[in-house]
Amino acid sequence: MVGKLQQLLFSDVSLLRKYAGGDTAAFDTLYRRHKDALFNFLFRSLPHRAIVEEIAQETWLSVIQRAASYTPDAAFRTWLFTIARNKLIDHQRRRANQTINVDQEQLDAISSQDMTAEDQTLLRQLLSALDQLPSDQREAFVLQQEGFSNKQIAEITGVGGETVKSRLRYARATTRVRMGASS
Amino acid sequence: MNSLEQLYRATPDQRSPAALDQQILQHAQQHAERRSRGRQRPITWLPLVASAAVACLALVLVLKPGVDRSSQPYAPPASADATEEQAERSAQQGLPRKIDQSMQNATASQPTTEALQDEDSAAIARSASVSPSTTPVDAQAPAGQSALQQEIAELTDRTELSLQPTAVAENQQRRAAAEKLAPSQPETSQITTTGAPSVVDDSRQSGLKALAADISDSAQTTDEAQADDAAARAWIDRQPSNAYTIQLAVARNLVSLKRDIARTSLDNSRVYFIKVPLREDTGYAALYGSWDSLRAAYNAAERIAKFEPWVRQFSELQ
Repeated sequence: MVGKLQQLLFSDVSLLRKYAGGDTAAFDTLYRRHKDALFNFLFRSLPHRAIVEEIAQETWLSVIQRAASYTPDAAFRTWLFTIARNKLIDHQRRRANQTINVDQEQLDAISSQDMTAEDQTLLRQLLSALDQLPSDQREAFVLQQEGFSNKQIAEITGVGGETVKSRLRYARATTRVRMGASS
Repeated sequence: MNSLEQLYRATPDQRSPAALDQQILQHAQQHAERRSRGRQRPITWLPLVASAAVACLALVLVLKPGVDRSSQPYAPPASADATEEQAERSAQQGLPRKIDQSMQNATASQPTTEALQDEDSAAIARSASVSPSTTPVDAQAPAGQSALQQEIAELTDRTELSLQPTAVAENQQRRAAAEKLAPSQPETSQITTTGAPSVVDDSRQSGLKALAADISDSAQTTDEAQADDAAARAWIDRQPSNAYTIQLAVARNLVSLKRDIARTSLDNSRVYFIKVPLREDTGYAALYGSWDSLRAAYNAAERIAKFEPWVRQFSELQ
């Protein structure tokens, strides 16, 4: 118990180094710290649970394999999301010819948790509007909601800061218009 | 934060499924075990290479031709003949030499010491005729003299070391100028004895009073914060868990937060202050009102958008 509490005090980079040195409890803490945020980001980018699980697994396996050679050029969280984004793009390229239908059941599940009917409608409008956004704009918007700064989003997506700002501006404007039109 | 982002925050987060978590953690453990097995495999050639490298390094250090052995601390002491030769060389060059006390003791029985002292005296006499006049200044200088007097002492030291007549003349001029200015400077002892203690006492008393006032203010603020937090907790517990409130702001200082909220046109009776943990400290969040639906809270937040409010469900707070 004390060991677990102590692990909470370590930074992400320290935990990864400890794991590279053989401490599996350190990886456990690191994983639990970021797993939901990563899963949320992937699901918002591609609302299909089975595919998202697959990409999340590939991302974490990549982290495990690269743990020993990790050099902290950027924050761990930024590095993790960069890997996840690249895996997502790879996946989308592999399945370029296939149409991925949005997991409607999952969208229903999201918006039916302990909410009034009116709130559910509002959330479904938002998720639908986000889903219709171009992938780069949706990605920038979702990353911002996950707490990344514009600079970090630029690092993850590999574009300039001004491009990130522009994508965010368009994402907000388009979503507002679509939600206004549908409500 | 704009309304769209507030709405997005209200969407429930997607959590990584437990089966996936278990699978990934298991893989991490297996990977770590494989790595540790790889590390434990004995490497037979490594000690041999390391010992060979150490031996080579030692050889290089011992046989290196350019090593200046005169600077080494374990060099044997110079013989009497060598000391004499060195002294003669110094006398010929006219350089003053600092005679080390330990060297003096070691060679006290030998005639070269006297010769060296004579040569030193001659060298000092040659170097500057100001030494006799400067020595009394140093001798009379009391402890705790003014900065200018210290400067005079420094000038004297420098003059004694200097062998150049021009430098001696310059130093003399500077010393004379400094001595002229010295009497106009107030004595340090006068400064400390006239009126200073009362000023110090006054400032100390005022500082203590301010500190006492701060302590009583902070104690009062702590009591107030606890009362506010208790009231807010009671209010939150009374609300239905699926209702919504608006978080107006978060601040470390409760007093300034309350002051800022009081300046607004909001109904202050509907504002509650709850204690929240910040990164390395404790802060206070101002919560405003209670709404049955997200839509209603969202509309209310739109009306007070200048605060950058955050719509939160009570279930998160309870």
